[in-house]
Amino acid sequence: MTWQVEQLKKTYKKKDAITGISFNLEKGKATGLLGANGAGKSTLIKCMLGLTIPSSGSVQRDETEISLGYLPENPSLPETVSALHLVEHMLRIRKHSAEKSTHLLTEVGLKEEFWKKPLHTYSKGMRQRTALACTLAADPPWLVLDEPMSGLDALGRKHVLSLLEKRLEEQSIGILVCSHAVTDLVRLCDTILLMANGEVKESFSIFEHSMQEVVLLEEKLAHYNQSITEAL
Amino acid sequence: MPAFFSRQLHSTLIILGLAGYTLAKEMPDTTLNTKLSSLTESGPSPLLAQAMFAGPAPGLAADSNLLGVFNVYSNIINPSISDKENSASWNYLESYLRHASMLDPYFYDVYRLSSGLLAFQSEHTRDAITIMKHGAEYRPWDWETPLIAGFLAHDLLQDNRLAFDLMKLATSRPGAPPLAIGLAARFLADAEDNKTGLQFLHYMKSIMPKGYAKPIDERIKKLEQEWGTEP
Amino acid sequence: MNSIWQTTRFTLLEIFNMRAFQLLVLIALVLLPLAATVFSNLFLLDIGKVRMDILIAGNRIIASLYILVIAVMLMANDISKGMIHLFLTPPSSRREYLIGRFFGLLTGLAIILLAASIGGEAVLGLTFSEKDPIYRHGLEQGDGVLLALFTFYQHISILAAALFICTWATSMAEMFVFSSCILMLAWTLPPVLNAMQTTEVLQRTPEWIASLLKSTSYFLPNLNGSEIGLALAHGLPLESVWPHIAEHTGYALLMLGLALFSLSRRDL
Repeated sequence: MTWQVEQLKKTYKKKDAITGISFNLEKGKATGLLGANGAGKSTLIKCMLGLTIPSSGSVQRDETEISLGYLPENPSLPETVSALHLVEHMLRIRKHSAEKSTHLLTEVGLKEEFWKKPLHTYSKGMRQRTALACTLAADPPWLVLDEPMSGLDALGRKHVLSLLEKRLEEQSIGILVCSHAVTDLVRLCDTILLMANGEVKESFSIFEHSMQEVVLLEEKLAHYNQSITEAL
Repeated sequence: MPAFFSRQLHSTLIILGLAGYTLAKEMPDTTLNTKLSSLTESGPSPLLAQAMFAGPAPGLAADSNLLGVFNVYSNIINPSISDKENSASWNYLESYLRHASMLDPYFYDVYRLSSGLLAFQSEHTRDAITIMKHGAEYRPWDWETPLIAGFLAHDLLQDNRLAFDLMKLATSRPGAPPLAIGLAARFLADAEDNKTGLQFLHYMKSIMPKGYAKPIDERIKKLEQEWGTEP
Repeated sequence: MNSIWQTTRFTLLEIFNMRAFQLLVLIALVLLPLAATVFSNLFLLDIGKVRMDILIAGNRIIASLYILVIAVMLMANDISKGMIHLFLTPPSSRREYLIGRFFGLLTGLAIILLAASIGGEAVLGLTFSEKDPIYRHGLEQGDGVLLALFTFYQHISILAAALFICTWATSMAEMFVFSSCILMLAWTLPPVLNAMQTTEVLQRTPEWIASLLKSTSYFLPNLNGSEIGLALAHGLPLESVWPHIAEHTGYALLMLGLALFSLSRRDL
């Protein structure tokens, strides 16, 4: 029950965005992608999801798992429909009953008074919660989250982290999460892949989910960033 | 999108635009040399420009040309108008009618106004008949337009050859009255008949809306004075 | 099939909630018939014909605006703003997404034109209530529906072409500009081709350009349906209908095929 990435490479106009990346994702575990802007995290995620066509390499996943949840960075949502309609659509497209939509919206912490209002009236945090509800619709066995805490306040971040931890524990799903927030990644993930310059520089296992690990990761990240800056 | 392709497309659009402009310039209205006093009466746009603008609705462009005819006619009947402006107005009126007939050749109001207004302006009689002939070619069910055009060719142009051709066209149409056949025969024999002419003019007056029969009335009056006979 | 149906359904939901769509329905249902009735009173006797002319132009303008303001904007939001990411995660494929969007947008167009046909039939009904039969001008009750049907058919291929543009253009501005160009060409090209093939112009045209013009006209016979419009306005038999339908079906299939191919190869 793994998601295998083999020698994945993407080149834009003769410049490598990601270069020969290989790793495995496992069910019941959360893997984090950590790296500075332009490290290739989003490109890697898009290649894994088939949204960007890789130049070479392969991505293999169990074909029986047809559903997959993806939360893009700064998700763009249809302006004219309500959160309820959008989540209902995501459930239906994954062949599930639309009745679960209210449960999902409650789960992500969106206030009921907003459920039927058009999305253009929502704040950034509310939009992020709606997008997360869409991602979680129909209980997909894999979740791919690109900056899931973006636009959320401290309480919101805590709520979403708890929600993901609960899913990880109860449903034994696999999570790939990409974030700049080292603290959040350390709290949620079992493994963190440090990315720089389109490569996975280091795979870092999290055992204690402690502040020491946060500090260590931040130092490593700063080290890779400094190396890139010097090279440039 | 590649920048190269974008440049190609922009160049193509510019070339198309220039081609359209050149084509429009290639077909000027040579008859219109005098500008009228007001902007609304400055004559129709070039035919191609109108056709391009109208696209799938050339009928609407023809309708707007007809509105131009009404506008110009209201200028013509103004007693304070100068001779020069009157002459230019008739030129514009002819252009509007011609354009309307080119854009929508099935539009009967165009031929009604060509025969009822334009034909009685001596400089434009032949233009009116040309417009009507064009319409007759597009309207195979219509005997009335070639019949009227034929009579006008005989009566106003004294071109009996043209009159016969048009009358012959009228007789070939379904439902054409025996009158057409009679007239065709007369024109071929180069014969003239005052009474028939006046009867015909009265018939034409009857098919024109009130307010647009003035030129026909003047023609009837003139013929009656010349011939001294009542139809 | 489920994904296509659900995307179609959601597209319609999005469209129904758009102010622009509601405004276009209002124009088609109320303002267009009103304009036709008022404007036609300026004419002498061919009043029915003038009303039909206004309905023809109105239907076309409304359908074109729908494609530009609603269809292209929706696709532009999806592709250039990344909304498509939300819809494209498995089990929904790119093919199903695009076909679903296409059917949804087509249904939206059909609804607007249904409103236009109701308005058109009301205008025709008013025309037939005139005492003088000359006002009817060969028109029949049902011509308003026929007109809406033709307008719908002509815009299937244009909508497919707009979707094709959206699958390769990189920004909303590009999508809007190129789709406008397609609409403009479909609107203006036939009269230009006709004018360039008149005897007078051909005499001054080099032979190779003349043959190029002829072959272009061969592939684009009556693209904008102006002949059909004239025939409808005058109650004439619709002779050029089948070639017109065949032409637009061919373009629609070609454009949709190209759009599917282009989207399948695009990085999103």
